Amino acid sequence: MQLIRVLFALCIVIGTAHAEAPYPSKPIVLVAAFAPGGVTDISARLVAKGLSEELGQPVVVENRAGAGGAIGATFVAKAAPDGYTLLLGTVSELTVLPVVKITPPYDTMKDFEPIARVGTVAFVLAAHPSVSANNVAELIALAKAEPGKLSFSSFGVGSQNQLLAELFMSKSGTKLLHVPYKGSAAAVTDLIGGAVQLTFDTTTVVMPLVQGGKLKALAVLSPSRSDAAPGVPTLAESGVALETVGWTGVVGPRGMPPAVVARLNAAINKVLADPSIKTEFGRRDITVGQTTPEQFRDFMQADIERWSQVVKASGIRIE
Amino acid sequence: MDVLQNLAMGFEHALTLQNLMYCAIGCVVGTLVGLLPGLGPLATISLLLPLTYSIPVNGALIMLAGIYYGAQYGDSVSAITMKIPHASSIVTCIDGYQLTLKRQTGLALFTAGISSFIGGTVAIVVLAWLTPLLGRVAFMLGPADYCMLMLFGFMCVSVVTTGSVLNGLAMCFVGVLLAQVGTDVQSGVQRFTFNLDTLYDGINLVSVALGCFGIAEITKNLDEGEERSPFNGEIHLIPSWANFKRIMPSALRGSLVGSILGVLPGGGATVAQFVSYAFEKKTSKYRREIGSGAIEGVAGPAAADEAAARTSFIPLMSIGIPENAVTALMMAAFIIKGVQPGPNMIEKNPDLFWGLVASMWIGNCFLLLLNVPLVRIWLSVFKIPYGVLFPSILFFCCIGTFSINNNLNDIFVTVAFGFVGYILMRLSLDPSPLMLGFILGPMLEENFRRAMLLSRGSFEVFVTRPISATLLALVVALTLVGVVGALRAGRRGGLAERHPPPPPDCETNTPPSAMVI
Repeated sequence: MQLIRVLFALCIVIGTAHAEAPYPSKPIVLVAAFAPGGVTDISARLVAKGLSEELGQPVVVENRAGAGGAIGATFVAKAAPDGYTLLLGTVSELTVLPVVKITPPYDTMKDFEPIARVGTVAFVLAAHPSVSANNVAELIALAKAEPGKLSFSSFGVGSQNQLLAELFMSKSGTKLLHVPYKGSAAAVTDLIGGAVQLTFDTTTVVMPLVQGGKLKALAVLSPSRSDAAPGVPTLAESGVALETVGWTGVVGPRGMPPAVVARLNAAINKVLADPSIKTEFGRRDITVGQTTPEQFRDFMQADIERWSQVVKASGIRIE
Repeated sequence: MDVLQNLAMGFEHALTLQNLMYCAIGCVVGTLVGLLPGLGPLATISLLLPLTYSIPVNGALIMLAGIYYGAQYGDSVSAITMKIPHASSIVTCIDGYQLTLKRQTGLALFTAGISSFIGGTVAIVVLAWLTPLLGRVAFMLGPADYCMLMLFGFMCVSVVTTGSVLNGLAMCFVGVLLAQVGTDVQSGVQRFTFNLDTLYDGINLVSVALGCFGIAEITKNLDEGEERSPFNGEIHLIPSWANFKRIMPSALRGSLVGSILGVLPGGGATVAQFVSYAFEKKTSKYRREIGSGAIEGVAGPAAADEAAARTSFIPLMSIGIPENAVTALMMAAFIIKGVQPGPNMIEKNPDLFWGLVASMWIGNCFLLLLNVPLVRIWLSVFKIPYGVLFPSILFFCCIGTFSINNNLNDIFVTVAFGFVGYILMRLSLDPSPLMLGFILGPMLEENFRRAMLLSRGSFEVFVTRPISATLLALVVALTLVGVVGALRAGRRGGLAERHPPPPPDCETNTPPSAMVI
């Protein structure tokens, strides 16, 4: 990969020596702030593949994983705002991390230029089969009968799904024990084993396990019922006014020329409208849609406000 | 009979010309990449994952799996010939490199090859017959059980130490301390990160292994200026029957240890090589030679490692939960291909599972065919002048570290560990226990604290859970046996003979019945 990039770079130097060409005149780097193989990486690769064809320039995915996505995001925030370095960001590094960190590495609304949201995925409240509650109301009753007895696993301290659980607890007036893990796989492993009783994870992870009888799904957290989780009620239906989604979107460094943002937004939306790309995302339960940069900005703003409130109320902060 | 029928179906799928080709490509690419210092299966699979978009699903998985175990074997080649281990060959390095120093590289490589073959074969039998059962067992272990398993792993420290036990223990603790760097899982607090982003996720195992072993070894060689003359002796590719008889039992024991530990999602595979080495040191007929270049010390861990690599597919196949970074990538490949990993995967896609199992065995044969004749070529590494060999090794070490996160700072960390490794070597301190501490320390801490959190601070959990209670009993028994053995040895030896340092392995004087490890 590196070699290819060096070769590309050489080509650019030779190619652009003559004239200033319209954007994009050289390859674009799309940074994914997580390791290869994960949902972020795969989303980035799907978007990059479509964008390459759409823009007529190679779009290269670069994984810069580490520090919960902060390393990749910081890299993009500091890059030149010329539209050649972009981030396929997620809720983790764009709207959760800057809120929970005592010293945030960047301010998402000030340091990034929203371009387009890519996809959203529904979260599920899942329980170990041994938990006697079969719906959210029973779960709340159970949790209230013995406060702190039920435990939930999270992806780590200050992760989106810990904040989700905090929000759930404050809205339902319950107290659950938080057990942090390193990422989703470990968190779900101990849920299957029954060491913890609850977790919040995406339909992609939870539903196959529900179908296999290893877990039970109590509610989805999306605004409406999810096709990926047939028959599972929303949390709002169950009486807890809480809705949120996991999402990915493309952002660039702050200060990109409006024309470049518009060009990228149009291109990404066109890619996402492609039925084959839609199916690819659909396999991972990701719903893709069309957004303007302004809509995406408002969406992120609302997300940040929600998490800020949770952080303020719960006092969850990380260094 | 069902299993045999399924296996037959699997072989039918795996033996098509196309799939054979993918298997061969996977094994070759894997071996070649594994050979390069610092580059492991993870980097390779993540690089090649996009290429598999256009390959049919069976072929893609067979190829990726081939890369995985190919690289696993390739790693042991660089560990044996140049003392440059990757995460999976740290233990193979100990006796393997000693054999190289004794000019028995060919024998060591052959041992690693044949043991990997045996380990792989045993694991495939396990995969074929026991996947559904082990899939359930794997998830029965809770934090308390893992905590005890890691404690059990620490019992191996006296065994992987060459030299004084005290030094070994000290190095082990240094390893534990080094592993403290990073974000604490339980509280999210930064430990010793100096506000450097690079250190937020801790120090990379690859950086430590490359630095302490590979780079340190190179620096030492340069320092001493001693030319290792090119190898021109006769190469006996097929070891003598006597050697073969020594390899077999060790490899079988290793396969068993690896197969069992590989199944555990909480990091069992990483412990497998250490436990198997300890097992050899306790049970092998040639246990006294282990540590100074015995083929048992290569055979056991190599077989365990290979077996664990394969049984680590069990949690993924039976439940749909990836156990490590490599199986996570394999899972990504499944999803790309439209196969939903989960508890019903084997029932829904029997051809896929059995095809993969069968291809693993075919891949095994490929690796053997590939590597036995190639031993000659690996040996020619020593014909390369140092002036060319050393810079290129360092170059590949840099690429290997960089490829993990595309982060330049990781290279500086590796360099720093090269310096540390060199100092340790000059002080005759062995880095193997350091690696043991580095790997097990954080897992012990994480699981201990999680177990305490879940039990609300009650230590009872360690004795009320059957698995953790059994492991705890083993740990206590072995410690007692060790202490009693050491005391007896001390009394028998008397004061006069206590001047030479006590034997590194204080448990050797115990009666055979007590040698449990």
